[in-house]
Parts: sequence; structure tokens; C-alpha cells
Amino acid sequence: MTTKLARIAQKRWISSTTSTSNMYDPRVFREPITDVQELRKPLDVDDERNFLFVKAMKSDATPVFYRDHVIDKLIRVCTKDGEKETSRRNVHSALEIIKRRQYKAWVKASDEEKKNIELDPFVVAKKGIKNCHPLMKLQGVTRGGTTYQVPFPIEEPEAEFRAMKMMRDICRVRSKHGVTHFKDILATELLAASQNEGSTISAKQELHKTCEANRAYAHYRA
Amino acid sequence: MKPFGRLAYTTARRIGTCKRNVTTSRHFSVESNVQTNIESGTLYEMDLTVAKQLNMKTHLPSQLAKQMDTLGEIVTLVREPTAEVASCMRVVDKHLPNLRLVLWGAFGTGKTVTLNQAVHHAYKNNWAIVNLRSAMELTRRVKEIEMSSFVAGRINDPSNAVAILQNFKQQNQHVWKTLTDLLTEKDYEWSKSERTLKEKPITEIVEMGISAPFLASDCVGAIFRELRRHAKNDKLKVLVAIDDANSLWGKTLVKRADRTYAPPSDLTLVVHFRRMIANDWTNGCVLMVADKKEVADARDELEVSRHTPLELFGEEGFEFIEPFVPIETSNYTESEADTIYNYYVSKNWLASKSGKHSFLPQYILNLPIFLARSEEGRKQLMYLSAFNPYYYERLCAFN
Repeated sequence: MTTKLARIAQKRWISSTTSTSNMYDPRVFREPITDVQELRKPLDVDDERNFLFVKAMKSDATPVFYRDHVIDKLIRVCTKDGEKETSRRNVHSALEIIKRRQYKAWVKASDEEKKNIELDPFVVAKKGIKNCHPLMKLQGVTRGGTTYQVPFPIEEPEAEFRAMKMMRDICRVRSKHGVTHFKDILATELLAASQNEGSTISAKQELHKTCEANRAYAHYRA
Repeated sequence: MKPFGRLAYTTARRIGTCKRNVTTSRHFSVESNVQTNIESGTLYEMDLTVAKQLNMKTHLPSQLAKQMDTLGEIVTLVREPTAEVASCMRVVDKHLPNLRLVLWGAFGTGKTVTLNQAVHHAYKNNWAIVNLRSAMELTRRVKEIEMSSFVAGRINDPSNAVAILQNFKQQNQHVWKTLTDLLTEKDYEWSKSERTLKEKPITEIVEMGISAPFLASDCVGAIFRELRRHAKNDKLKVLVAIDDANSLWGKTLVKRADRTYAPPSDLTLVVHFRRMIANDWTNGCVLMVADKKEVADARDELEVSRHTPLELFGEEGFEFIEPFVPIETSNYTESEADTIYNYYVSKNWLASKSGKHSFLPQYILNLPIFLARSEEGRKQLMYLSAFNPYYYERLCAFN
């Protein structure tokens, strides 16, 4: 337990910015180019990257044709204990399951119905996550000893994260006892959410109801 | 495609193991068999009803079994190993000892698929089929054991034996009439009360084994013995297809009464399959797969075992299966990958559009450049999977 004096002596302050620490010295390293078309273009002669180092490319920034922001974020959110490979396998298996179910339905469908069935699992998953985006969030604000759950506006990235987190928690609880695997439950949830059904959509609607009920506390927003 | 003829085969017998690049001028065609043409590089479709009869759903790798379900058809690529196996099967003759083939290769290169294609090929040519899904089931997945009353010290495996007999019955429906016409050589006394008399159809042995699990292991031995005898007398040709065959000389998880692990030679079913592999009978073909599953330890990150037959069968196994024809399976060539790619596109299986362009309207998204079906997608699938068939299929599965 450091005293205030000791903390000042160590020159550590509580920062208000998000993340300032960086393994890469910002004077020496630059971001990698992840787009293959950009990579093929030659660099400008006086571009500083000719004389500097390049950071290592992240594993979910590789220029594969199936690169997708929403799916990559879902993989990151579902990662547990740093095992991203397991999470990647789970999410890709869930995509495969979605594709198989949609394909079976597509094969059986008549020609008019065929147009409505989406075979691309990426599109289905994105639509499902989008439908789960909450419009507000509840944040605890303490006034006079009581903590009130106050509805706050929410940005797109955070809404996306919260949607994924809700879905992940629901899937984890359901797959806890090992009878059904995480990938199967995730596939069912994503497919249902793309049709505006399922537990994650209900959880989102519950959240909206609580926000609506607590709208009086909106005055506590600083 | 390098056809193996009688010359190559007899050379193999004399030399020992035969290298793949021994060629012959032309291959013998034996009259009554093998009419269908197997060309490498083409797609091979198995009729669904036939696949059900041959129990393909359990024998094929699980991903392909799922394809059977989803796409409603089993279409696999005929590659060089299948063509070689088919041409080897053409040489089988009642005067020659059984032809032993060993499929070996790296992970995911198509050993099991080739084995199942050969089983289907044998079906089409009205051969009798003895197919074992995995020899590891006999050595590692033994639920309950019984000591054999026939030979002291041998261990029977009733559940696996019944499964083998049921599988045999199901897979040989196309030759069941022929089998019913074949008669037993001698009286079989299974126990004090059960017996199968001389000159009875051999299918009775199968029925006997299925109805009485405690006799099933001995019935398996008897039916195999009868099959070998009738093959020698040119009544039928037999294909013995064993996946993970190197497990017959590997590790067991069967504990004896004194709490030590039994060697595989103590298990009756292993002994019966080894007798089928032995080359003292004629008019048959034994197709074995040397798989790393038996030897590789998933938790051992330091050692990487080799996938060659000598390494996997061990000294004892290798001496037993010599002389054999080794057939190596390998990764896709570009044209093979293209064939599979075009097949998936034609079935509408490759569905993905590039995610980051999803804000664009549909008519632009349907432009080739944005699809997994684009030129970029086609090339990337090959390189990302490193031309390995298994990983290629896995990549196509979720895209």
C-alpha cells in the first residue's frame, strides 16, 4: 500500500485517457498496411515508413477474404483465458452450423421463398448482432448513498459490444453443463436474433423496458 | 496414373516393399471384374441409398458425413491413390496371394476417403466387403470383455464383435444371395447347446453371432475363415478394408485380471483381422490405412511422429504385412483444388461476401470481386489451406 507521497515520488498519476501505455515506441514504429491492394502500391520516396519499423500485424487483421469486423469482434468477446484459437474455432463452427441450416431450408424452399433465405452466415450473424444492439445503457450513479440505475446514451461500438456480451453470457450459461456445445447455442442465438427472436433479443427488450421505467433518473446524468 | 500390373505385383512380392515408380507396360484385365472406369481428377458420386447400405455415414470422416446430410449427395474427388487402388484391384486373381495395399500420408490428405471410395468400387463390382471402421475401436474402445472359452488367455469383445457382424451383414446385402449359397466346411460347436452344422449357408454364422453376443467373437473368426476358403475356391472376391490398421500392432487399453494392459495379440478380434491380412489365401485384396492417431500424443508438444508405414506399424507389424504396395496420399494440386472449388460453387455452397463492404448495395456485393467465389477467394482458399484437403474443406465450410 503506497502512501500519497510515495505515489507522487513514483510519478504515477491516475490517467483519464483510455490507454497510453504502448509496447511499441511511437517514435520508431508505424502501423502495418493490412489491405493487399494498398500493399502492392509502392511507397512514396520520402514516406517516413521507408526509415522506420513496422508493428507486428495482429492475428485478426490479416488480409484474408473472409475478414469481417463484427465476426472478429465476436471472437474477441468470446475469448476466455486468452484462448483465442478456441474462440475462433467455436465462432467459425457456429457460422458453419448457420450455413448448414440455412442451406437445408433453401434446398427445400420454393423459388419465391429461396430469395428470402440468406445463405451467407456472415450476413446472418451481422444482422443478428445488429438486431441486438441496445439503444441505451444503464449506468449506476450514486447520489446521497443510493446508487440509481440511470439510462445513458450509447455509442455504436459500445452497443455492439454489449450486444455481443449479452449473447455470449447467455450462450455460456446454456452450455455450462456440456450437453450442448457453445457453438450450437451460439448458432441458434444468431439465427434467432436475425429474425428478431431468441433470448438475446428478449434480454435487450428487458433492458429497454428498465431504461424506460427509470427515465425519471435521467436528471442524474452529470 | 501409373497402372500396376501383374509384373509389378510379383516384383513387389519378391523384393519386399515396392516403390511407387515401378511401372509396367500394360496391366492385365481379368475378365469378370472391374468394368467401371476410375479416372483421377474427376468427381465421383455415390448414390445415397448405396451409401446408406454401405454405412458410409459412420465410415466417412465426420465432415463428409455432414455434407451427405446437408447437400443431399456424396461427391468426392477421385485422385491418384484411388486410381491406383482400383487398378490394383483389377489384378486380384485366384492364383495370386491376396494383394496388400497400405495407404499412408500426412494428416488430412485423403486416406479414409480413398478407403471408402475403394469400398464403393468393390460394391459396384460385386465383391464381398469386410470393412472395419477403425482398428482402434478394437484396441482402445473396448467396453466390456469376456475371457474366451475357445482359446485360453484370449479376450473376447462381445459388443465390438456384434457390431462387426451387423456391419458385415449390412454392407454385403448386394452379395447376400451368393453368400447364402456358400456352405460351411465343418460343424461349428459354439457352445454346449448352439451349433452350426456342416453344409449350411455361411450366413447362418453371421445370424448366430448377432443373436448371441457371447458367441459373436468366435463367429467373426468363423465367417472370416469361410470367406477365405471360398475366395480360394474362386466363389467370390473379397476386399478387406481396415482403417487405422496399424493399431492392430499398437497399444491397447484392455486390462487383464492382473491389472496389466493386454497386448493386441491377446484380443480375439485383433487375431481374426490379422489372419485376414495374412497372405496365405488368394483372390482377395487387403486395403489398410496407416494412421498417426495410434502413435501421436496430442499433449506431447515436443515429439512429432513420422507417418511412414514402418514408423506406424512398428517392426512386428511391418514384418507381418510385408510384402505390400504402399500408396501415398498427398495434398491437392491446383487443378484438383479447382475441381472442388467449382463443385462447391455449382452447389451454391460457397456463400460468403466480403464483410467490410456490407454497406454497399446488393447489386455491387454480387459483383465477383466481393465474393468467396471471386478469383481472389479461389486463390486464397488454396493458399490458406496450404493445399491440404482437410483444411480446404474446413475453410469452405464456414464461408
